Amino acid sequence: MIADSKIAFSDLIEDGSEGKLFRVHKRLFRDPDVFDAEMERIFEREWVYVAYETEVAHGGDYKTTYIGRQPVIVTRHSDDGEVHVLYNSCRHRGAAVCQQESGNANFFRCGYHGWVYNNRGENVSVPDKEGYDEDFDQREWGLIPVPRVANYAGFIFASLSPTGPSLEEHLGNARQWLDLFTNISPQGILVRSDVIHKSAYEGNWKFQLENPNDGYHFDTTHHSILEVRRRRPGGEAVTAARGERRAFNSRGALALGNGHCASDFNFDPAAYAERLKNLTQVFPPTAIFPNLVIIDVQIRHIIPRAHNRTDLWVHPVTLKDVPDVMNAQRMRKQEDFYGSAGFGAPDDWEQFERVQKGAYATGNEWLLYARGLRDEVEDPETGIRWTPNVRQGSEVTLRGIYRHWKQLMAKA
Amino acid sequence: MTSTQQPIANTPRNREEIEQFLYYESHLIDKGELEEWHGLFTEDAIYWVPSNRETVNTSLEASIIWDNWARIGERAWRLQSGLAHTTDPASKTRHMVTNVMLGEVAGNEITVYSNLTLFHLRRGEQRVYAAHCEHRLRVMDGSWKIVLKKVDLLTNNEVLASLQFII
Ligand code: FES
Ligand SMILES: [Fe+2]
Repeated sequence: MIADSKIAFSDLIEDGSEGKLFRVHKRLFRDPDVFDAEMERIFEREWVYVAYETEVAHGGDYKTTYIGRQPVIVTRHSDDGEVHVLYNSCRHRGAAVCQQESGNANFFRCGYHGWVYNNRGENVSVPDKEGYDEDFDQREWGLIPVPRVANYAGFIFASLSPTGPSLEEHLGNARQWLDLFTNISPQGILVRSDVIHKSAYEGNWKFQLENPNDGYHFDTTHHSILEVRRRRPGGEAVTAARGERRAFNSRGALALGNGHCASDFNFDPAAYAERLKNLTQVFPPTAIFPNLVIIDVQIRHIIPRAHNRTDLWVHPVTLKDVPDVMNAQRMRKQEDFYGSAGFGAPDDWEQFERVQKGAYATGNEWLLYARGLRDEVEDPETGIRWTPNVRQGSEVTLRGIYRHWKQLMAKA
Repeated sequence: MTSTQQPIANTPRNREEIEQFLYYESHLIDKGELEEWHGLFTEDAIYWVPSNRETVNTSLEASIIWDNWARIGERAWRLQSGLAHTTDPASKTRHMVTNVMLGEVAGNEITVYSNLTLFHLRRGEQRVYAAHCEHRLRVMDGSWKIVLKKVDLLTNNEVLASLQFII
């Protein structure tokens, strides 16, 4: 066993160089110190997803969320229409000023002593202001905006670091997948802050970031829904077609760089761009490091709560200006697999909780992420890494996540 | 729904029958007799647990459960198939049905409201759920069948653990 305190965080990943395996130490999942460092070095520094723009579509709309452990309000200003991300903490004595998950308001009034802020954070009222010294300037006591906010294809990201790569640089190759997801309908997509499946599991946040691009797990973990589907009318044919596709699954497993990854189960390099345009119902699993997954009909926002506790805010997405029956189909697809009573996702969470439990066993502390390791190639133009010859369950995607993690965690 | 017809169920005898029916439904669930439970539903039935709030537009909003008759059967089958990892170890439930109120009558159907307290036990952990339920029941061949079962969980807008059992 490795003495927990004596090793650098970045050494907790063996990255497959020098002919070694690619392995990840269990401390990544069980150690509260690792979690604290992740919050500081990843979530409270790098670009993280906070909202989709239609959640705050109109002036005055707001929603509350977290950047790492820190509470923030995402608002759209009533007059200028700009999106602001403000720390949800009163400048007087620090109370959270907004209690609701979402809504529409021109002002946030702190319930403790009554300071009032408008929805771009400006302080507009301090009760009995005369009690302060003469040089007290109310204008200096607004809610503090987070250092950086940027929007790509409607996805709003924020960073608590004033410097660093731009959002476009950070997203890099993953931008194409965000574009495709939002272009499914020519009129765009609709995400509502009040239409959401909220679930939790007793396990580390990285399990959820990995899992959608872990093609290896599907047949075992999701045996029950595969069998339900096979038993449906026409299910035998669907199952047979799936079996044929399976052989090519891993060619579509892509490490996009900066920890992002995607798995397109029908990957065909030649017809790729063309085929993706025709996606209407399902979208291939795509993970944007560290806290966003887009898959099927949903946007999944990962909220890390502790090293052993994760919340998921899953927004089923509707398409604008399409017949209701099409959106209804999308909602039924969401319910089929996802949500706490779904036939699929809860079987994933069950595995996450089992891995969390197993992470405390010390007999072997290194977890194996080596499928397709020697077959990995890098596209010289894009830097995308993939495994052309692995027939099933390549882990090139997961290695992309942990290579990036290793890099970020090395920066104190 | 309202009707000018003489209410078929607002008589002491029917009230008792309807309460017994709700208890029987709970009994089947808690005993794990899910095939029989599925048999209580009509073929046009809906089993519905809305997400976020009590009234949603199901064309544009996903529910926690929105099952038609076939899917109620799939749910029952999957939970007992031995294939779902969420059922290893198994769940146990105890449904407490109270505050039964008879509602609108329309033709051969009656709406019944009740409160549900649900205890769920799995892996040594017991959780409690509270809900308001709406059952629309239809008289068919002299017995009651469920046309609609809508469960409004008190926690429908909260972060939920797995709900891998019949609510
Ligand atoms: S803490 Fe907000 S007004 Fe005092
Ligand atoms: Fe899965």
